[in-house]
Amino acid sequence: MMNKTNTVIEIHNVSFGYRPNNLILKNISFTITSRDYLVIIGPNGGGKTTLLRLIAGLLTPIRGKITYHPPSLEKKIGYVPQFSNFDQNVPLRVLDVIKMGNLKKYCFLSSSRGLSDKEPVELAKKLKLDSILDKPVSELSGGQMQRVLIARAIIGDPGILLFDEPTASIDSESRQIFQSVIHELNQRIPIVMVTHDASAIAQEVKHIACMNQELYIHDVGKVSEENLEKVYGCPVDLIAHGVPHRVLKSHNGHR
Amino acid sequence: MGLDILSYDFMKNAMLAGFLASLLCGVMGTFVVTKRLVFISGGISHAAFGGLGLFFMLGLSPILGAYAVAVIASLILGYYKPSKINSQDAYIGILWSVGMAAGILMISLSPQSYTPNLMSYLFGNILMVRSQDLVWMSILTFSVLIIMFGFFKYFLSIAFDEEFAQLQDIPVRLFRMILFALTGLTIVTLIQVVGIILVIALLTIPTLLSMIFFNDFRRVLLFSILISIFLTQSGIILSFYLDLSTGPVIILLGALILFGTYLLKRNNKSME
Repeated sequence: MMNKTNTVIEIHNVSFGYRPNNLILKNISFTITSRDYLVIIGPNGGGKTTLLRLIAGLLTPIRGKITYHPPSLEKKIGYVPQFSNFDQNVPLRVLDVIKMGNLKKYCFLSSSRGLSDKEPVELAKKLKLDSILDKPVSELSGGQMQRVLIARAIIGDPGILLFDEPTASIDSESRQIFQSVIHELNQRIPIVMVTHDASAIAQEVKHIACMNQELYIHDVGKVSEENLEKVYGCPVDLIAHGVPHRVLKSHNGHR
Repeated sequence: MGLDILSYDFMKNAMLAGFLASLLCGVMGTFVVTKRLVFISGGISHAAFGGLGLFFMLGLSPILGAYAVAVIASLILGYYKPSKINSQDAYIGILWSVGMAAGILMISLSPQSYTPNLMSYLFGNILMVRSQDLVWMSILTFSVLIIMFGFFKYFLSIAFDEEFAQLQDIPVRLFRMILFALTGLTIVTLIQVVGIILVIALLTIPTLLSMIFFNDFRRVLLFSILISIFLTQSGIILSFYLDLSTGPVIILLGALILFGTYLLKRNNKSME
């Protein structure tokens, strides 16, 4: 019973593919605990984003099962996608996008700022977005956009937060804000992050998983060069888009 | 110009119909343009002609047939994600011409002793709007507006990011189907003003113009309504005095203003 209460999401033997004979994910099993900070690294096309979308409930596994504890958690998932997921053609301001994170609460008819906007404005301050609340989202920099998406994901008070490549194209200021917000959130809720950028792995990370269709999970400090090579199918130095990379050295250096 | 146009009942009806159509066109056009549903809307409007022909052949009200087919086609298209639909654009193209082909064939095969003026469906004939049509048009217009504004934030959120709306347990597919169905109803209403072939321009020009000046969805929408009202009303008046067809006058006036605004805006930018 004790460890059951600690588990918030169980991924049990999950497989997924758009065609049954072409699986993107094969027999993935792991659990996410209540204050976990799990980073999943792996090459592009290895199924990282697919795994996040399965956990978020945006996709359904073709085999296996994902269980949420409590079941209501399934409806309280914060998800920060990569930018390209939405249409920049829709003319919206930063404040509107943040408020869209909690549709059941906020109204969108009036274009002036109302009393109910106190909470989103506070949150924006924390993410250093308060000076650009009225800016159209189509004019934001990569880092600003990333922070807007984070604000949108946490305004609804999620029970878990999923990040897809959060540090892919952000400036150092955004990166710092990002790390401190994650740190604060992780005091209350589990964080799952997928990235191909191993330098994004912060000291607070509790587990690292390597994935390329299959998943190998490790406690921090036990990631071996051998495992990484198995996942990427090439020497560690060549990982991440041909840029010589310091996956292990920088990571182990933190410990 | 001694003519007082409001002394003609048909002109009063035309201007009122143009006004109602403008309310719809401003609201739905903003969604159609920002959610990139223009090609899909073209498919729906031309498919509607098939329904028009069918109902005419059966001796029923042709415009009712257009409404029925437009709504059914919209609901079917709305069932799928727009990205998926747009990637199948060949099928929309087929829907587009098959609707026209079926409509023309059925009208020519119909046993009725007279054939309707095809031109008036293709290019609109707002002067044909009767008082009883206006009653139905008003009921329809206000029903569409009530649904749109009642669920505005849900429609806006699925226009922006369907996936994120889905995460919040919003019934995305249902709202998308409603949005498409209301677009279908709007299209057929607009057909009565400018006709099947010109309807896409009326649906898009006001929003495109509005987006030059505003970058906030609500303002874009509000200004689109105002531009639509201006275009339909001035188009009707101009066509009356110049003795030209109303639909093409409205569209060309809109296109001229849009083009002029683009040029002015570009000149201003290069002057800065």
